[in-house]
Amino acid sequence: MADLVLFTFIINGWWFFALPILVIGSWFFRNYFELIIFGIIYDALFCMNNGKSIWDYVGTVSSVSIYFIIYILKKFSRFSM
Amino acid sequence: MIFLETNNRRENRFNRIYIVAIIFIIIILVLIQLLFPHILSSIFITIAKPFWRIEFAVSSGSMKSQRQLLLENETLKIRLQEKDIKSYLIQSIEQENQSLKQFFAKNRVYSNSESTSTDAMEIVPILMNPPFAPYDELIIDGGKDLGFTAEMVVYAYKGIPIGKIKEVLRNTSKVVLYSSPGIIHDVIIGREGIRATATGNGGGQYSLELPRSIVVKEGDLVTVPSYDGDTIGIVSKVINDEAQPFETIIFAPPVNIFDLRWVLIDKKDQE
Repeated sequence: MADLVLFTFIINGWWFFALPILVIGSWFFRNYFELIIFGIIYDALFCMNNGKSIWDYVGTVSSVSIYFIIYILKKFSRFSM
Repeated sequence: MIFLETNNRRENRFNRIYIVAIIFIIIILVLIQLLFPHILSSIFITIAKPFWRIEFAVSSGSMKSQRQLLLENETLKIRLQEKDIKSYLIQSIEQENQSLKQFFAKNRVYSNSESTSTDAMEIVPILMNPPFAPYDELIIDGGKDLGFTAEMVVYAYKGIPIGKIKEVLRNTSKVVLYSSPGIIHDVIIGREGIRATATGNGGGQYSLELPRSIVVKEGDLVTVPSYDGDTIGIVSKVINDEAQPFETIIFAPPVNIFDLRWVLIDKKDQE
């Protein structure tokens, strides 16, 4: 259900609604790959220049970075689930 | 719930495998994107398109009741009649303007944009115009099926260019707006025809700098000679700082591009 809501947000370009939910999800779930998948979908839908520029990967790069930042934070935190 | 972190070797091994798998998948996706640039885009746009069409239909009023639609239809008919009357007046002013231009031989500065006749244009609905997306773009419901090609000029209305087609897929196209950050235009401002270089700021806004001695007022038209002298904006703000030798001019298209539901594509006009 949450994934459907997130998909709706992403296809409408509402990344600012999707991002907090994805961040919370990746903190509470162990392998929350939806974060990266939605980043890739966002770039595939809205990127320009056929992926020849780094700016065409804003969604992918951001989602992978957030995924690993949260992964590292969870590793050093005692309060993760 | 609070758990103590355990130092489990097996768990660490699994985590490492997951990370390697993620990196591997991302590399494959990037390679696919580089080698076959349209594949991912086509797949996800095909999935998203029915949702965009439903959204467009709902926002265009297809869910309204019959009574509401009839009422709206009548109101629009009345408005159309009012506009017809106004258009006759405008036509007469245009004729007068044309004859004055011929008289003063200033056709080069004030082009009448004959190449942007609405008849030669394709009217296409906008599927997506994300207001806060990092990419200043529109996705329109027409692509190779309607004969669109890259670099075709996109108009909000007749004589008001807002962007050009950047990428054409089977039945959708991506339009990059002229106001995209960093795009530079040689423009002519105001009645005196002051030449300057404007830069897109994103979100339908442009800016340029001029010496303070040049008088530019809010409401002055900004035209681009390379777009047949079409108007790309109207001066919305003049920022004049007494301490600075230059004033900053902010201008925007005469229409709000994020409220647009349709655009015109000039099939003949390519940059």
